[in-house]
Amino acid sequence: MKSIQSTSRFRQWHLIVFVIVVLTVMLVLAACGTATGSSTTHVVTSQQTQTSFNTGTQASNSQVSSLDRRVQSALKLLDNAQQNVNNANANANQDNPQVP
Amino acid sequence: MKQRSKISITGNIRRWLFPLGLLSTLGLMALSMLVPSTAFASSTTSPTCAATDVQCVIDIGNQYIAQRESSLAKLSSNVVALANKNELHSDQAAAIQSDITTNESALSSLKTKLDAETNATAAREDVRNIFLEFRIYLVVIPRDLRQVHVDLEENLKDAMKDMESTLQAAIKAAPISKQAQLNSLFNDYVNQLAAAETQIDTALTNLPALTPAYYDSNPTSYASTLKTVSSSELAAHTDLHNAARDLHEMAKLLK
Repeated sequence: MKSIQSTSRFRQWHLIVFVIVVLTVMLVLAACGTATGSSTTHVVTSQQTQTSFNTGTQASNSQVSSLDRRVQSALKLLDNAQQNVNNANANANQDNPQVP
Repeated sequence: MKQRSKISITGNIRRWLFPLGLLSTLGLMALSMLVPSTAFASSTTSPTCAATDVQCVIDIGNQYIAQRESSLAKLSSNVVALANKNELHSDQAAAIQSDITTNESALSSLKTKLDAETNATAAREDVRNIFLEFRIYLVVIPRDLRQVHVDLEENLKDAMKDMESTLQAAIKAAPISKQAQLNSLFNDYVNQLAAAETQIDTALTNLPALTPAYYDSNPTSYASTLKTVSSSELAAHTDLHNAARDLHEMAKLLK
């Protein structure tokens, strides 16, 4: 009777240990999976940030170059306008009265 | 023999004397025709008409009016071209066009009056007014061209100020090794634009005062205002060139 009881207890303990081991393995695996997943996510996010950062830099650099070209061309107009003022001043003596 | 050769030499001289004399006379005639006309061109100030020749005075007056109308039309087409290219804003172009139209209409009225004159003295008074009332070459066209210049300066300054945030973003993203130089250029850029703005404001405030009436009523004060406008306009021009140079250097560093 005692031997039957001890065998039964042994099986119960065996089952409990087995369940604990299985649960532990599952937890470890789950933990590993989460860590791997977050690490992948992290890499992707980092790559995305890096890509958009580069694009932004290139965009603003090309914007600056384009602005520079626009300003250089506007300066030519400004110089022409200044030259027109100088030419007009040279013609001012045409308003000296010439009455026939 | 000797006597014969002397005779032939004398004969030759006589033969050449006539053509040489003729040529020199013609040359002197040509010179005498050229010299007075050159002197006339450089020294003539006013064409002449007989004292009572009304039509002569009217015709000459109409030439002066046509010359001014043509100059105003040229200025107008210049303003239209700049407005079409969006270099001048529509309100800026409209203000200058309005001044041109006012002068064109007034010249047209004066032409009508001149054409109807029957008295030479009255016709001469009208011709005198083409110069003294309008002052198209002394006041109107130089002032309107200055207005165009200052308007272009203002528009360029505004466009360059609008670029400041873009430049700042580009500098922030630039390699650290270049940032000190870029920031120094950017600070100068901002300062030059601020200086240009002050000068442009001064020019724009004083420009409307430059009228023929002001010139006639107080020539000394007019000259002083003109000097203020002119120096502000030129200072702004230099400031904008300096800011553009900063921008060009920044663009080269950011490439």
